[in-house]
Amino acid sequence: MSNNLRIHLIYGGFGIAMGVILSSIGFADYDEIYKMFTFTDTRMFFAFASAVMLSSAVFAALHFSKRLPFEQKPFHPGTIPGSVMFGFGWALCGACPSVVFIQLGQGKLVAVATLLGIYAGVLAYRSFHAQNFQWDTGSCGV
Amino acid sequence: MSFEYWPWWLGGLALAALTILFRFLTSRTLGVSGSWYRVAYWRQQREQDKTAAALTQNQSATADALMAAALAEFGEDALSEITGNGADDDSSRAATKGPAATPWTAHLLFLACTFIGAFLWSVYHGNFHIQFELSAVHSQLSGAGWKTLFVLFVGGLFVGIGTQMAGGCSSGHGLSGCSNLSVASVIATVFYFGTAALVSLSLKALIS
Repeated sequence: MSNNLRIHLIYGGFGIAMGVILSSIGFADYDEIYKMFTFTDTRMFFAFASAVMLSSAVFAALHFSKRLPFEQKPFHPGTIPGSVMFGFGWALCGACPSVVFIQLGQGKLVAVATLLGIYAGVLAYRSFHAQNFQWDTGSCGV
Repeated sequence: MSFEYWPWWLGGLALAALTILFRFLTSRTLGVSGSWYRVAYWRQQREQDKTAAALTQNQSATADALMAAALAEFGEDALSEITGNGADDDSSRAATKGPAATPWTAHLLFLACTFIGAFLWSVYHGNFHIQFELSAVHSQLSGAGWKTLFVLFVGGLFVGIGTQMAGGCSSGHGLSGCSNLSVASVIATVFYFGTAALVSLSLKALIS
């Protein structure tokens, strides 16, 4: 199997898994998101927090036994304002960048507006960034 | 509803497995906004992929040319002395190459497959139907009809700008960044989660 095919199969497999897992937890359901952000239901918050704790335990064990080093992201002037804008948008549209595809996959057709919004936002910010800022945003998955 | 959402511990286990396995199988950290960037700029990305592939090929070509030149100059005996009697050419090449860049089509497939995964999940649970609102609560908060579409577009715009500016989203900063104990990611997660909670609580106060 060629390396190129292997990469595509892996990324496709993870996409399917992500669609199923996030659907099963309820991250594509606006009501569940709303309940998480208004602290009326802690189920999804604990799902997220326990995932971070479990995987950080695994990554820390690998890091300190010198098998796999931590992958750190840079702190830059855009970290805080960018996160605030992302949080604002997430509360309005109930979607983070993967969830919009999941909402569409579940038949929530109005998420097309969210999709167009994210696409416009990515293009607008990236061209603005390239013209005005020097720092590396530290985006993942290169 | 014909199904129940997973309990928190099962969701936590599944998300942790996703984060850890992704790192092992791809040598990258899981991050959806990175995929968005590469798909949105697919033309530039395609050129970069080509350049990277050409560079890898050129490296081998350069090495072969050097070897041929050395062979002509010094003869085979001298050469095998240096290379340690035919050292494993491929392994030394692989060591200098580093991990190949992920082609943009893999990122596109990743995003498309989250759509397919969610569709299969919906059909499996028998709750796939075309909906013209996110939920009754969302329509109540945003105002129905065109107002909902406007709120979704503006929300999406902020998600697009914010995740690119912060260099990560709930997967990149939240799941992978925080679990790699990255300070920037912990700060980012606190700020986006805090802002989303503030906005949701304000909306709740407004409609009640």
